[in-house]
Amino acid sequence: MKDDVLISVKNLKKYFPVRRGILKEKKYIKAVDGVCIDIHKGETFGLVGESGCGKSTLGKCIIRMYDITSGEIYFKNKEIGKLKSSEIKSSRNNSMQIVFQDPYSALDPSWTVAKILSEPLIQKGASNKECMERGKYLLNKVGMTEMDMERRPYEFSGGQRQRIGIARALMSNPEFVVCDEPISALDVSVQAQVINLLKDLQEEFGLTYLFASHDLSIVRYMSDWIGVMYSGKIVESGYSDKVYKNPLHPYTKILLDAIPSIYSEKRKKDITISPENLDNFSNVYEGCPFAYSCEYAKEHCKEGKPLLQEVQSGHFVACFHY
Amino acid sequence: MDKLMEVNNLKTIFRLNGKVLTAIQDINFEIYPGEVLGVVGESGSGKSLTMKSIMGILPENAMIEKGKVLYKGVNILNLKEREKRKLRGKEISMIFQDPMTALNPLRTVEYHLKEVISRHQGGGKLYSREKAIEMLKKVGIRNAEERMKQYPHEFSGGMRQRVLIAMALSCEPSLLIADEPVTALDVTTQVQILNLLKKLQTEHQMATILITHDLGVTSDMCTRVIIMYGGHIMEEGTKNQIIFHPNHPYTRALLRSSMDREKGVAKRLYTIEGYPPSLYEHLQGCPFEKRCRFASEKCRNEVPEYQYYEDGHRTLCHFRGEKLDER
Repeated sequence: MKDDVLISVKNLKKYFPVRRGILKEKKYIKAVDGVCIDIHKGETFGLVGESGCGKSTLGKCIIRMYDITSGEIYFKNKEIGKLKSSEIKSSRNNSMQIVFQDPYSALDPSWTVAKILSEPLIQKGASNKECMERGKYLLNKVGMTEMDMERRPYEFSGGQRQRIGIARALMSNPEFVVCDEPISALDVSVQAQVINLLKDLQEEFGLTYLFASHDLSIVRYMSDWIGVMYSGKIVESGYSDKVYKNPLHPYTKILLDAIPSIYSEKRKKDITISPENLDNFSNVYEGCPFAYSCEYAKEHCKEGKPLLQEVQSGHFVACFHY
Repeated sequence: MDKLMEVNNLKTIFRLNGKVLTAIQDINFEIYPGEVLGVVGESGSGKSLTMKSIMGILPENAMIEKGKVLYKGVNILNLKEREKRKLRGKEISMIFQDPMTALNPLRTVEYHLKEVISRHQGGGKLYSREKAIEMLKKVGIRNAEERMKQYPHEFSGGMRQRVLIAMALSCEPSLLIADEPVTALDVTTQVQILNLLKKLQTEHQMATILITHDLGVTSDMCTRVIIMYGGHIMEEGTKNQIIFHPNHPYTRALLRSSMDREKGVAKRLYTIEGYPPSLYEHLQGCPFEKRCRFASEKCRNEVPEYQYYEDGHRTLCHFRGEKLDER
């Protein structure tokens, strides 16, 4: 394993059990199904995919908010995938944090900002004074003032709440932050502010991000490396410019085409992904998960599962056509 | 061509804890048959409230203080509730943002569709059933006969939005108001729904007001665009005027700060500092003054008047677009 790899995920699986019908036959939703990724120190790993593809679950598994079904997670060469929840708490508090999608529900409405920010440090046993000092320092860093410490979440707009959420994530001085769709609930004019803020903080504190979003152009802007997820699997990954400029997997192409463009004149081609094919159990099928919506699919696509392979240097794709 | 609808000087206020808050004011626009008018703005800019004022479905503590909404020459704000109800759904239809909550979870999709059809078109049970199936097929739902018997929770987000579109279009309205119809959907589903709307809109020669905050969607769908901010119309023009020759500082900033495929990747994104104004702030001047990089003393104290350019292009600003270029 290379030195600068901060997080390494090997064949991670997370299945959620669901029971259906009177016989209570056990079925699983394979939210994350055999994912392998490496996240390098100081870089941003962008995770793109639509709702239900498993990107949030993957992020939450890595910081061990969820217990994993199988696989290995290495954080600084230490296996954390099988740690018990009490053991994870300390490592998560010290070095891994998360910024949630919805700034309206992520902050306790009855707590003051000071209390919200102190919480992660109190878990670590810090004194009240330390909490306050660091809280004020970070509020300044995210573009707010010390005066805001005594206010409560409802007094702030969405963008300001997201700033508080980011400050909270940085309180315990983490090395790794999962950003789970951090801007999709924000106003357009505020999105760019938060993106710039995340980039500035990354530079200043040397943070490593896992940045999950459904918008490929934002992910490309934020990330060094992009992974495209579909139905619990990474179907394409590579340097962000390579994936963006030369998408290989048919799904990535569709995803890229679907982004509404301001300046493009051409009308969008209709998309063939039919929701009928995409029910929750679609990945119980043998074969390529995308085969049922793919316009290039051949018979053999429905039989074997394609593996992620390097087709150009720094560009991987899981598709039988390469 | 005759105007389909004309909104004159509309002003809507909220009464909250004894205070009067002005939510939208000085709203003037018109819409012609067959065109797609985009209304762009951030949350709280008053775009949904404008549409609710027009439709007469305001929340209880809101009221229209002044203004006229002329639909085919008749001021619909003065109509009796009964007459309004006839108009809504039949002449003017609305699609709401969130397909998850717009349908009654305890009723089948068939019930929803049949209710709209039988209320506005009469006809027997058989007719409304046939019409419902026809509409579902039209919006691209396969096995319409069977899927009709299902409940909303058995439909995905995109499919629910299709059901809502089928409901809205079942009485062939002359005007469709679509309030953020694709915001809650995935990008790939977005394209499907937008293409469907475009197709149906051309087929029925129906005027559409498309509310959105996404300039990409606007550029894709609309013929004319209104930009709203802080309860005012900041700029109005054709799509090309707004996208390629914006004359208001807010429109320009919005375009510069949005990410786009066709643009290169900048080192840092251009941002509009600050936040949109809240209703509680009492603004004396231009609502965008605090965030505008061209703002001067005049902007703080005086409400600007419209500047007019060619082909109905107008901006609410103290400065003309050409002047801004020089600064």
